[in-house]
Amino acid sequence: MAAGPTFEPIATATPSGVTTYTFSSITNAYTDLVLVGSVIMSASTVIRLRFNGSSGTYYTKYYLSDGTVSQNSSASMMELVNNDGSVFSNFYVDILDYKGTTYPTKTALCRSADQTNSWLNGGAWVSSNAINSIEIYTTNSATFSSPSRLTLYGIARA
Amino acid sequence: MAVTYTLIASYTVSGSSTSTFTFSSIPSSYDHLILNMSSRANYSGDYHLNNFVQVNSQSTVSNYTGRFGYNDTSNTNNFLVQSSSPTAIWIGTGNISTDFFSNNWSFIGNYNSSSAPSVRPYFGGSEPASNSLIIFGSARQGTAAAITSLTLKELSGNNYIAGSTFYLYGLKNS
Repeated sequence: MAAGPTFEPIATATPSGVTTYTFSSITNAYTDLVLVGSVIMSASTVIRLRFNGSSGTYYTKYYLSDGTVSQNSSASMMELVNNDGSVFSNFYVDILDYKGTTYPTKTALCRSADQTNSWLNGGAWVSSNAINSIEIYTTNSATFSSPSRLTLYGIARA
Repeated sequence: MAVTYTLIASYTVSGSSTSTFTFSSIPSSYDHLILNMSSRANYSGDYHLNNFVQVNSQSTVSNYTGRFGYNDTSNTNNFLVQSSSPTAIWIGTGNISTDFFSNNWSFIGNYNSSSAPSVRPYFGGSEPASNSLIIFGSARQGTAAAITSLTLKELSGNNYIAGSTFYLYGLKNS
């Protein structure tokens, strides 16, 4: 059986001067998603993610390389990485089974790095809805600067 | 269909061990780089963390910064914290010649940009003789320059031994 494409860009963006970017109308043609970002901001901020515009229940646990271990069972989003405007912060997020409606949990695994720390972050979004949009946003008025890049890839289990 | 995840180059240690090699002339035709390595070293102890990635042949180690956390069997509930500044940008996981290969993944975003340094996250694991560990870290390149070469080094007099493999991939946005 011929394998299908397994790592395809669904959409890419170079946000600048905005606090939020949303990948919307995400196709259901894949089994998993990968979100890749390399961003530099206008000021210090935390970069966050949420699905379908939902501020519902996210279970997250992350380790920082300063020794911090944080767990939040009632978060309204998932934190990805910090940025202070001096470096490119990079993040790579696996989003597994994004269409799953039988089991109401979508799992995200993030590996990222900023000017100070590395992050190892696991998150789960509890919803029976398929993910059809992903919002990446900041916690204050800091905006994306050029040449920040965000790309969403589709993974097909051939 | 767009090809977005492409092998740029690979290196396999065969025969004599080596302490260093370089991915040179990295093309600028991608948006990001991913480096995967599966390595062992001739280190005689349980494990060490002396793999080093040098950007653009820049050897002034004080220019590099980074920090990583790791745990092992004696610290199963905690991540140990180490700052790699100013000695090196660490990448390694345990390497011991009589045991398993250690595997490590790195993401180097926006590698063509010269407007700001890129901070590279990495993640790896190993199963040395009397231990097991995972490691995650960040490494900031020395200067804000487009990356055209990556040199991997085993420090402290150690070498990568035969069978160690290194793969450099290019990732496109479209």
